[in-house]
Amino acid sequence: MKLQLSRRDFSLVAANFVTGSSLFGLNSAFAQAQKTVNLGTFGSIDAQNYIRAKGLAAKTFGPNVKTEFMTVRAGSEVMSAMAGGSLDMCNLGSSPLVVGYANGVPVSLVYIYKNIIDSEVLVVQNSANIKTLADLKGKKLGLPFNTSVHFAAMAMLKGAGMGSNDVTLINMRADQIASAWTRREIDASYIWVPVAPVITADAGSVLFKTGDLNAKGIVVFDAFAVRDEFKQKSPELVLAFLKDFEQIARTFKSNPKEVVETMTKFLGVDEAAVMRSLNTFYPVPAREQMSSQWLGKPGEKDSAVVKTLQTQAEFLKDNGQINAMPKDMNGLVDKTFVAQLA
Amino acid sequence: MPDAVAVPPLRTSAFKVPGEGSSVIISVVTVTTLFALWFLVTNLGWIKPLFLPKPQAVFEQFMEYLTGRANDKPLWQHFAASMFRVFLAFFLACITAIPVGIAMGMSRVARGIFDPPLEFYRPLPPLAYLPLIIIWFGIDETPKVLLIFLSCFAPLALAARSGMRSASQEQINAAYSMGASYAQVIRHVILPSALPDILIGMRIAIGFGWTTLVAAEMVAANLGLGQMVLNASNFLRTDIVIMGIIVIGVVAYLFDLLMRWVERKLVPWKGKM
Repeated sequence: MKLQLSRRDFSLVAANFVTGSSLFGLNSAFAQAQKTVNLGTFGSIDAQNYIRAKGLAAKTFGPNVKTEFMTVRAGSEVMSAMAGGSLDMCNLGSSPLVVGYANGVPVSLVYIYKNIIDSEVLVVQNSANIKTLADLKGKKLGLPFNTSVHFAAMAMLKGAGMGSNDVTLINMRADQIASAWTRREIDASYIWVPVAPVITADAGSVLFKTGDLNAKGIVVFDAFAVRDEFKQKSPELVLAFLKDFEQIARTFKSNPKEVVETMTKFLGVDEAAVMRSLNTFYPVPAREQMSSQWLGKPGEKDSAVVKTLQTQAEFLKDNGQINAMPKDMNGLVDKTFVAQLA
Repeated sequence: MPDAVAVPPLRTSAFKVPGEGSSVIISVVTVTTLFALWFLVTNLGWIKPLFLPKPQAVFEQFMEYLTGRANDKPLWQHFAASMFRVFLAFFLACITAIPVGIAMGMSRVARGIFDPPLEFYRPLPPLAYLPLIIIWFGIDETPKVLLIFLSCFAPLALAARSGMRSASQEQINAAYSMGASYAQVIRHVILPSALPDILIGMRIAIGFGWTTLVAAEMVAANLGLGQMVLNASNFLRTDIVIMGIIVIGVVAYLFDLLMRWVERKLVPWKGKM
């Protein structure tokens, strides 16, 4: 292919470069004119990937909207991408969302994507002789930093009367954990599905589930975040996605057979893996999210979700991972969409 | 002619050698302008600190890390860990790649053996074979050093190999006609003329080493400049990211200056054969 660039094109590109508009989100304003949705997915068994697998994007957003799927690997990537204006909507753990908000990324939490109960667990090596949480002292714990599992692990250690210095925390990406596990180089790992079942099957056992934190009043969840500019420009697209998400979430629970069939073919994974993901998926219906146990009604302040986010922010501040506490955590939560859904 | 050195050469002609003259002042002006620009756009609030923090904020992070007040290990520990990895790998690459390169220049057998694997892996991005290195060598220091070693090895071996060809046929024949043996030709003619190329190879190799540092420290590191930058980027701490980048850049630049000095001392005959 020959790249032909007229002088005019070139100077446009150059001007764009010089003003840095491509970097600072101005050009997304042009993209909005023809309505493009940059929808993030973790490339696993989630609603976004289901939409992609079934080719439902045009049905969800309407025929005149172009949908770009972006595969991300971690919540921190979601935040950087949203800060740069190249990603509009995605689910992510609450902890990277708080980090993004504290650093001034213009995003809103519009929906509780899923409740995390047993999809993120602490797995210990059977050979490491760890029977209780106290036995973790001095052991090597591998997990990806600034993720929901990092937060859950710290909350778990705190609950067991330990700090981050009692355990050797090793920052590892999820894909590195399985190989380090097989070589027995880490004693334990706090990680999510699909890695957790794989390492549990390889001489490991589950010692702690994120759901166990509920007893301490800590709810860990996956949030659905939307870039503020996108939310203001195209609220109907956000609502359209959430409507379909509720539908798909119901399908995930009521008709898993069909989902398994679609997703095994699309992702090239085995049925058991898809089943495990579906079994550990706990959506929260919009009506339930309106209760003060979750987001609360519009206008209601300091609901359970806001309190959890506040706890996470304090924890991140104590660990020096954010500079300053966000002024008002209520500003991160936008309940208008949930209110329209319920 | 000792006098001729002291007196600056007379300008006898209007014709210039391309690229002659000193560029120091221009470089200083460039760097100062870039800094001023950075200071200006951030302090006037044109760019949000998330994208580009103020130079003061970056400097403050530097001081906090330097004095160990930051909520992380102090800077010198990160620095020492990275220096250890880069220089151990560089040292290992020097003592293996230079002999391999020399052997490749001297013997067709060695060239036949080493050329295919070297040329095959050389253009591969380190991140592509990182998973393999982790599965084979685990997550401790070995894979980190090995990754940097691999990135240093190829440019060094290739530089040594091509350096072996830089002695002219006339020089070699002259040595032979004066009764030199094969070994003497290698030792006194070919190796000295290869040395400048080897030194340039070393400079390039250490540069590759620094560029691979971040990739190497993606492997479960708790210490290291690359790890510090990666971790900060996870937490959107652009100030620490920029601070780390500047530290790595300055260290690499200082080492390059040292290598240039070594080059002047060690091979004064460079370009004068």
